Amino acid sequence: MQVKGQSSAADKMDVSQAKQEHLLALKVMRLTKPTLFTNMPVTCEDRDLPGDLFIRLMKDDPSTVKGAETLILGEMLTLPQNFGNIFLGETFSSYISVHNDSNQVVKDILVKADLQTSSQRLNLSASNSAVSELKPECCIDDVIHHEVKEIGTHILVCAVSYTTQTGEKLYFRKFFKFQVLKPLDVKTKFYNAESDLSSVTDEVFLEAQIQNITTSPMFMEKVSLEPSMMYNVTELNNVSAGIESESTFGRMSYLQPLDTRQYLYCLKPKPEFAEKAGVIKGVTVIGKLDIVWKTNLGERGRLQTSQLQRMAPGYGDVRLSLELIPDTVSLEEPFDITCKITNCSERTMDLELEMCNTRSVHWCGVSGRQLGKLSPSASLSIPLKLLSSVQGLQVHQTQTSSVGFYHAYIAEAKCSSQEILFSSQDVEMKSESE
Amino acid sequence: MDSSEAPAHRPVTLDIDGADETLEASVPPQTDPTEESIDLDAEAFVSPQDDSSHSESLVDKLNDQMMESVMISDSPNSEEEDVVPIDSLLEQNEEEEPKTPDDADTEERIEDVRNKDVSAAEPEEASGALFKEENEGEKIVQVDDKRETVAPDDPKPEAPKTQESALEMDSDSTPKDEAVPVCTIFRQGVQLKAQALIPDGFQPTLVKSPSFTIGNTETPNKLVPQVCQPSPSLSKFFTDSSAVNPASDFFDSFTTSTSFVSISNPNAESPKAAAPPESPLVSAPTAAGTYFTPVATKPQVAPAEPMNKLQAVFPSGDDPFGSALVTSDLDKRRDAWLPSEDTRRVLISVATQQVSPVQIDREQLAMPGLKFDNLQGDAVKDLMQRFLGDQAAMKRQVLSANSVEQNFLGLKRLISTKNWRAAVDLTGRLLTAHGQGYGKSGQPTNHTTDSLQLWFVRLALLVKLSLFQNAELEFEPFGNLDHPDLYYEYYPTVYPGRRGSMVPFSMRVLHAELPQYLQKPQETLDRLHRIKSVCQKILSNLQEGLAEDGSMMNLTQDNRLASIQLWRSRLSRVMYSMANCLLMMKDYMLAVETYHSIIEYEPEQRVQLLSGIGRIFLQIGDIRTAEKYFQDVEKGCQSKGKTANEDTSVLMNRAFVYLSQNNYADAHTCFSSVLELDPKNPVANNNAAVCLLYLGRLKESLGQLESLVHKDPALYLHESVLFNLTTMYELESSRSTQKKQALLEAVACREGDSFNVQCLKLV
Repeated sequence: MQVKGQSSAADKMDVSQAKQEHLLALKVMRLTKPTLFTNMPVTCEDRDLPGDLFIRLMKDDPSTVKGAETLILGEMLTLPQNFGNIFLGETFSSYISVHNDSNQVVKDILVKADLQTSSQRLNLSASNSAVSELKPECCIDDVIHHEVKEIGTHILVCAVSYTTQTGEKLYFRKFFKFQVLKPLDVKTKFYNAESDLSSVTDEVFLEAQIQNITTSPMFMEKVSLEPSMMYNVTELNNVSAGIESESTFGRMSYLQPLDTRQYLYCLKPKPEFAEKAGVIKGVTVIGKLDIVWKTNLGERGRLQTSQLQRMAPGYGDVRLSLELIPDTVSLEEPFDITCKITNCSERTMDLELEMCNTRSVHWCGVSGRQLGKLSPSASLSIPLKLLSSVQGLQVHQTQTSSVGFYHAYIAEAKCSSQEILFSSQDVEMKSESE
Repeated sequence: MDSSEAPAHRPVTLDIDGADETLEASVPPQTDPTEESIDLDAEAFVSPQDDSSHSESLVDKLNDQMMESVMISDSPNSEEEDVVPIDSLLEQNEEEEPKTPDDADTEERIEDVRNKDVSAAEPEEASGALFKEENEGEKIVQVDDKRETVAPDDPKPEAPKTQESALEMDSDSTPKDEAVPVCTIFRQGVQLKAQALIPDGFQPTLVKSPSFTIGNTETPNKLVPQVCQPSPSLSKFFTDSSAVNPASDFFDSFTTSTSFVSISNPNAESPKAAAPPESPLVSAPTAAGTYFTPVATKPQVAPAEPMNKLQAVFPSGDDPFGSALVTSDLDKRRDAWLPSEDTRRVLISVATQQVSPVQIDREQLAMPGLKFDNLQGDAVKDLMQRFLGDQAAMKRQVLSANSVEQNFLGLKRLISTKNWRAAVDLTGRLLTAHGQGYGKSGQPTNHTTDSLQLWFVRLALLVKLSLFQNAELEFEPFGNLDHPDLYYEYYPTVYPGRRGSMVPFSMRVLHAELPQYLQKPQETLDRLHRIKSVCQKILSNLQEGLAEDGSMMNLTQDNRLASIQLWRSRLSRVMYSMANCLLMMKDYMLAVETYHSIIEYEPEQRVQLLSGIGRIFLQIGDIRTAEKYFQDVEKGCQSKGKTANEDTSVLMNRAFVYLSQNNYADAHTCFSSVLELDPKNPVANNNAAVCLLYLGRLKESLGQLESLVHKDPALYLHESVLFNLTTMYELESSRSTQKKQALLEAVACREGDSFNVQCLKLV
C-alpha cells in the first residue's frame, strides 16, 4: 500500500514538473449554456426584531430582482459549474485557451482540436494555420462546436506545437473524455383502419411514444413525421376550436424527466399507391420522425429516427369486407347485408359458402352453396340475409378460414326497446385453391 | 390468434443506441450531416413475452455495461453529489470547535471528516466545468500526457484501441433478437441513474446555485450536529437556576441593558445575574394581577416599545394612552391568527379561568431549546490561514458575538455587517438567558414576544447560512407553531387583554419554507397552503365587517383598511413562497400560474413578475412563450410613455432571448445598452462579461469583471460574480490560485463571517 502511494505521488510530481517545463498551458472548458442565479429570500416584517435589515440586505444583494426581491429566479448569469451531461443530437461547444505562462515570446504555435469517436476522428479547429508568435501572458482562444452524432465515449484531443526562442520545437497533447448519452426513448405502434365501407381506405395510424430519458425538462419544439413517397400524412396532435388550434398536450409545452408523450399521425397512401388488394404487401416504409427539442436557455437538440417500417396487414388469400349493413334492425325481422370477397392470392379460387348460426343471430338461406371461381385480384359481392333474435348491441364478426383475418364492426346504438340494434354472425368461408 | 395481426399492434421500439449503427449499414449516419438516425428495430416478430425472457438473460451483461459507462464517464455530477455533503459537513464541523478536550469522540469525527475531504478534493476538482484531464493509466487512450519533443503526431497506435473499446460496447447488442431488450434495458438503466442523479445543465440554475449547494444533499444521519456541545460555562450556569426559577423571571429581561450585560457575558458568573427581578419591565406573574386596570396596559405593550424607539418608525405622542392604543391596534392586526380548534378550546378555558396554565398537558406545549451552541467560525479566516499564512489571517477583523452589545442593538449590528454566524451565537446567548438554552428543549418554559422574535432571527439566519439541518432541529419543538402557549391568551396575567399569535408571521413563512431545502418540498407546500387558507379566512372576516379572528368587534374604517392591506401583502408573500417552491420542484406550469396570480396583489411588480415568468420559459427552452411574456412587458412600458429602448427590463429580456438563440453578439449589445442607461447595473455588467466569454474573448471578459470587482467591491464581491471570475481564472492560466488569493484578500476586507467561500474555488 505504502509503496503504491509513494509511487503515485512521484508520478504526480513528474507530471507537474513536465508541465512546468512547457511554456504554454492549454485549458479547455465546455460551454454549456450559462445558468440564472437563484436567491434564497428570507424576509421579515417592519415590526419584527430585525426591522428592515433583512429586506435591506436583499435589496443590496446585486443578484436579486430589484422591486421583487422575493422572486428566486434572478437575472445574473453564472458560468457552467460542471461538465454536465451531453446527449445525442445536441451541440458540443468548448472553449480552448492556450496561454503563454512563460516570460518569453513563443513562435509558430499550432493548436489542433480533434474529436475521436468510436468510429471516426473529426477536426474541430476553426483554423489550421499557425499563429506566428505569442507574447507572455497572452493567449490564443478558440471556441469549437460540434453536433454530436454518436453515442458513447468521445475523446477531445488537443495538440499544441510551438517553437521556443532557442529554436527548440516542442509539442504536447491533452485528452478530454466524455460520454454521450441517449436523450429520448421512442416507441411506435401502427394501427390499420378500414373505416369506409364502400372503398377500403387503407389508412394507417402511427402512434409514437416519446419519452424524455434525460434528467432535465425538455421543450419539444417539433415532433413531425416525414412520410415516405407513398403516403400523405395528417398530424393529429392539435384540437382545432375555431381559428385557433390547441395542442392536445394543453399548455404543457415540455416533457419532465421520464415523462412520455404520445403523438398520433394518420397516413394515407397516395392515390397512385392506394393499397389495392395485395399491392402494398409485406414490409413497407412509412417515413421517419423528426424531433427537435430545447432545454436550458435554448440549448438545442435534434434527432431523426431511421425509416419506420410497417408490416402491411396480411390479408392472406381471401379478404372479406362488408359493403352494406344497416345500423339498426328490428328484432326477428330479416335484414340484408352485402359482403365483398376479394381474392388476394396469385391463383384462381373456387369458393364455397357455409353459414353457421350463433345464439343470437341466424342466417336465412342455404348453407354449403358454391360461389364459383374467383380469379386473382377479382372480387365478388354477395347479398345475404340475417335475422336477429336478441336485442341490444351486437358485434358482428366475420372470419375467413384460410388465414385468420379479423374484422370487427361495431354499429351505433339506438335505444328503443323494441329494436335490435345490430346483430352478429359468423360467416365461415371455405376457399379451395386450384 | 392471427399471427399477421401481431406486428401491427405491437409497440416497436426505436433504438437510438449507437450500437445498431453497425446493424443497419444501409442507413449510414453520415449521409445527412445535420441529422442523426435512430434505427428502427425491425425485429417485429418477437412477441412481447419473448422480450422479457430475452432481456432477463441480458440484464447482467447490460448492467455491467451501464456500470462501466457510468464510471468511465466524465459526468462529474455523480461525484459532486458525494462531495457536497462532505464539504458542508466539514464546514460545520470546522466552525464548531470542540470545547472540551475530553471530547475525544468529536475530535475523531472531525479528523475523519477532514480526511474524507482531502480525498474528496480531487473529484471535486474534476466536477468543475473545466474538463478533467486524462492522465496516464487511462484504459482507452494510452498515449500519455507527457511532453514529447518534436512532433511525432501519430494517432495510429491509439486508434485501434479506441475501436476495440467501442466494439466491446457494441457486442452486447448486435444480434437482431436482442435489439429490443437492449433498448428497454438501456432505458431502465437511465431511469435508475436518473434517480441517483445528478443535476445536469439545467438543474443547477434552480437548485444548485452556489448558495444552494450546501445542505441540499445532506443526509440527516450524518449531519445531526451532535458535535455541538454546550459551552460549559453557560449551560452549567443555567441548569440549576431554571429549575428553581421558572423562566418567567426573565420576562422581557433583555430589553433592558442592565440585566443582560451580566447574563450574556459568560465571564460574569455572578448568580445574581440569573434573577434580575429588579428590572422595571419584568412583571412577575404574581404581581401581574394588579395590572388589570387600563392604566396598566402601557407596561404590557412595553416589549414592543424599545423597538419602536430604536426604529423611530412609530410616532409616539405625548399622550401615553394614545400611543399605547395605536400600538395595540397595530399589535392586534399583526398578531391576529386563527388557532386550530383544539388550541382554541384550551385558550378559551384559560381565558375563562377554567384551567390554569399549570394544569395543561405538557405535550400540548412548545418547549424549545438550543440544539447546538457556538457556531462561531469564520471560513474566510480559515482560508487565509491556509493560503496566506497566519500573519495575513491576523489582519482579518470581524465582529464576533463578544465584540458587540449583548442586546438587540448588537444583534442588529452583527446582521447588518453580515456576520450572521456571530449573530446566531448572540441569539443563542440571549435565549440561554431566557432559559431556553442548550438542553432546555422539552422543559416547560414561558414564551414572550421577545423570545419568539429571537428564535425567529436565529432560525432565519440559520436558513440564510444554509444550515438547514440545524434550523430543522431547532424548529422541531415548535411543532406546527400552534401550541397554546404560543398565543397571548395563554398568559392573561402577563399580557392582559392581548390576543393573537406570539409567533411572528414571518416565522410561520420561514417554518413553511424550510422543508423544501431539505428535499421535502411537498411538506413546504402543505404548510404554505395552511397559512394561505388562514390569510384568506382573515381577509374574508375583515371584508364581512368582523375582526380578523371572526369576532364581532367594531373596527374603525382606517383600521380595517390597514388590516386588509397587511393581510393582502401577507397573502402575496405566501403565494411568492409557493411559486418559488413550485419552481424549485420544477413544476413550471403551476409556478407560472402562481407567479401570475401575484400580479393581482402586487401590481407594481408586474414588470418583474412577467419578466420572471418569461425567464422560466427560457429555462424550459420554450422561447416562443417567453417572448410572449416579454412582449407584455414591452407593452406595459410603452403605455407608460417610455420607448422600449429606454427601459432596462425590456433590454434585459431581449438580451436573454438572444442568448437563448445562441446569438451572444446581440445579447452582448443588449446588455451593453442597459449599461448606457444604468452604468452601475451589476447584472448587466456581469452578463455582458459572460457573453464575451462565449464569443471567445476571454481576456476582455476577465478584464471587465476584474476591474468591476476592484472599482466597486460593494456591488461585485458577490458570490455569483466571484464564481464567474474564478472560473475564468482557471480557464486562463495555470496561475489561477494566486489570483484567487488576491480575491480572498479583497473579500477579507469587506465581507463578514457569513461569506460563502466556495465561490472562490480555492479548496
